[in-house]
Amino acid sequence: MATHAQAVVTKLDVQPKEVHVSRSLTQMALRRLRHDYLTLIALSIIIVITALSFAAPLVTNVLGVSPTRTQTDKTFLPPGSPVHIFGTDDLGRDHLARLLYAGQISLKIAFSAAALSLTIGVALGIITGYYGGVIDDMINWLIATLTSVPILFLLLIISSVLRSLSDAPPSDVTLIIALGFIGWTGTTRIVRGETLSLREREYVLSARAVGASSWRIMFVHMLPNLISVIIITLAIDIGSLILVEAALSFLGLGVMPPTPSWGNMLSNSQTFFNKGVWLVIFPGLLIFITVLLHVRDGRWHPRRLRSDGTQLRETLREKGKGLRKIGLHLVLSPRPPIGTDCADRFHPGACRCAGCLCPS
Amino acid sequence: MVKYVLRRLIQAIPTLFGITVLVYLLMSLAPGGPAKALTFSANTTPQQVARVEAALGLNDPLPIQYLRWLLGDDWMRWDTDGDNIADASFILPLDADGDGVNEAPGTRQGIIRGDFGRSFFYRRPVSEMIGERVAATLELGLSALTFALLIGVPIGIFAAVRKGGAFDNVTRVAAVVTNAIPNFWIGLILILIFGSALGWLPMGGRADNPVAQCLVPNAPADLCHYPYIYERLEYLILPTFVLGMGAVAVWSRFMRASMLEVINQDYMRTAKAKGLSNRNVWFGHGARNAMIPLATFLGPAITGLLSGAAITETIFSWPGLGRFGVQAVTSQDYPVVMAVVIVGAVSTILGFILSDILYAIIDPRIRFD
Repeated sequence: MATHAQAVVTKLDVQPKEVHVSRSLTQMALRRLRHDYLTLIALSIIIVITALSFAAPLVTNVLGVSPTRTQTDKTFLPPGSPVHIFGTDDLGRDHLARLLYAGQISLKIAFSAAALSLTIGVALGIITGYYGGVIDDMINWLIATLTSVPILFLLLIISSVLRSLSDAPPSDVTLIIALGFIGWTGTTRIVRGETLSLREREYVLSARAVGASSWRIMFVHMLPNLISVIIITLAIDIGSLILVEAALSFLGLGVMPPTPSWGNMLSNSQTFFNKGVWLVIFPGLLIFITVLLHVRDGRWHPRRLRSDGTQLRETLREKGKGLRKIGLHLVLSPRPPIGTDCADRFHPGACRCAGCLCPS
Repeated sequence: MVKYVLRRLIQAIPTLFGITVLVYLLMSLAPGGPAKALTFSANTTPQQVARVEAALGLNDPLPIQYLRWLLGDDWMRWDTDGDNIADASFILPLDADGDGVNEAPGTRQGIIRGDFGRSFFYRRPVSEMIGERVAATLELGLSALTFALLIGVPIGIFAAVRKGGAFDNVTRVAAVVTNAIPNFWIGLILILIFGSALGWLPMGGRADNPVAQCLVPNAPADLCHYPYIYERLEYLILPTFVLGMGAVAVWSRFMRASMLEVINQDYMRTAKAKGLSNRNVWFGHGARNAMIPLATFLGPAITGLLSGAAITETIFSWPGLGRFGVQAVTSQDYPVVMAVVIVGAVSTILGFILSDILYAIIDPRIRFD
């Protein structure tokens, strides 16, 4: 057998050392990402939209338009007009410029609130999962309480309280705080469940045996192993937060005009149905595309989850529950993405999960 | 079973308590508060504001205010000799404002006895106003749920039996797409097309004689025949579609997953082996079993449609609870906001318990102990 292998190696003129090159988990993840064209396309469109939004001052300067300059003689110019590529609104302001500046606000709120709720959710999830007992019971009670209140109303109350506290229209910061402090419950549940199973792993036991503190075990040893769950949660959270921000602004409790956000642009354009259809269509399309792409990216995850993909399914179901409460729905296919379990470090090429499709 | 239901109900008490504390604390954080809202007039003197505050009990410590809201104040300060001046009290002082005259007896019953106070804005009892709006919300919620079930369940079944086929893929993409679209945007576009451009359907509102009236016993026959029913249904079509659209996606994916679990069971193979037609196997044996887990989903879905309808109701000016709540938040009508939130929370909790019970009734294999 050995001689045969050697013969093959000699024949191929390859050094045996190079044949057995091993890849790190990150390398394998990146390799899989390179072959997942749909995710790559989605990711690049997100990057383009985000970059354009945050480079809004530059873009508007180049085009020579302004999101705030009103032109009474140029109201309701249709898309495709000279200078105003996306047309103008009821006050003659450039629609494209406003969309880009609005994207800045909407994306900033979604990214920051997702980061905030993720930080709270992951920290609480690891702590409750690791310690259990009274802490677990208390956090679970808090989650049960928070999730029983219709989330939309909770958001409305918090944003109206924050608004009256600061005696100013709700700024993006108050919205970020409100959304961040409400959105963590789903993440906590998911992370807690995952931590419960990680807690029993050998590496946790060996870390404890060499005298690592609980905090070190939780945040140095267990946290990196939760990264796949965190990435899915983050992507889906960002998508849903864009929707929530839009809904809040639509109801008049989000970002206040004249500061544009995709939600309040939609809300304002309601009045001008007949005169400017594009004012309704463009912000809606942008929200839709951005959310869809984030959700799409949430399906890609770098490391393998539980062998049967149940974790992903649970994550999506939990997320779905949270969203349903505010009347915005999000459900994804429970099928794990291609290659979920194929790159098992110890059984390369083995496909052990029922639903996964291994690239041949 | 009874024991289980009782236990679930008892478990719900701390949650409900938490909700009332949370909502009350949040609302009391808002500065200005009810007194400012009630005395919003340029020529209100500070003395008048102070009197209103004393009358509303806003000078009492927060826990006492909370207790009064929760349990009422007719047991805190009451009248024994019928002169409408309190002469016995518990917790509260008899003469709260220190003017030498005892206060009037407490009249509030607290939310626990269904007294949500009076709306600041409309000056009417909140429970009465909620009662007027429940029917509209129920009508919209139930029609959206029916729509979602009628469309979503068959889609799920067909997607599962032809797994990986064109229909499966198309509906999967459609489900994801549906859920990424803000539903108020779809609402706006539909109003634009069917209400404004084509003029086929009303742009919003609810008919004067709503459909729900025909469902009650002894409904007036002349109101419930074709042209009138049609007129009322017209108002329901767009909101039902917008509210139910997301639910269709949810139900179809859920049904598909559930059906896929059933489809590989032995009894399905047996049914096929004994020569039953595909239709009989899928619907008679498969779908019936696959629909059992849907029961767990039904309770939360019902409450989700009821409380999640705020946006849809706002777009279509549907006079329901959700829109009422949103308006109350913007006009800082605290009693109404708290009432709507409590009603939503209670219905959510009850919905979960209800779906568990339903589950046990439909599937006798489930045992609770």
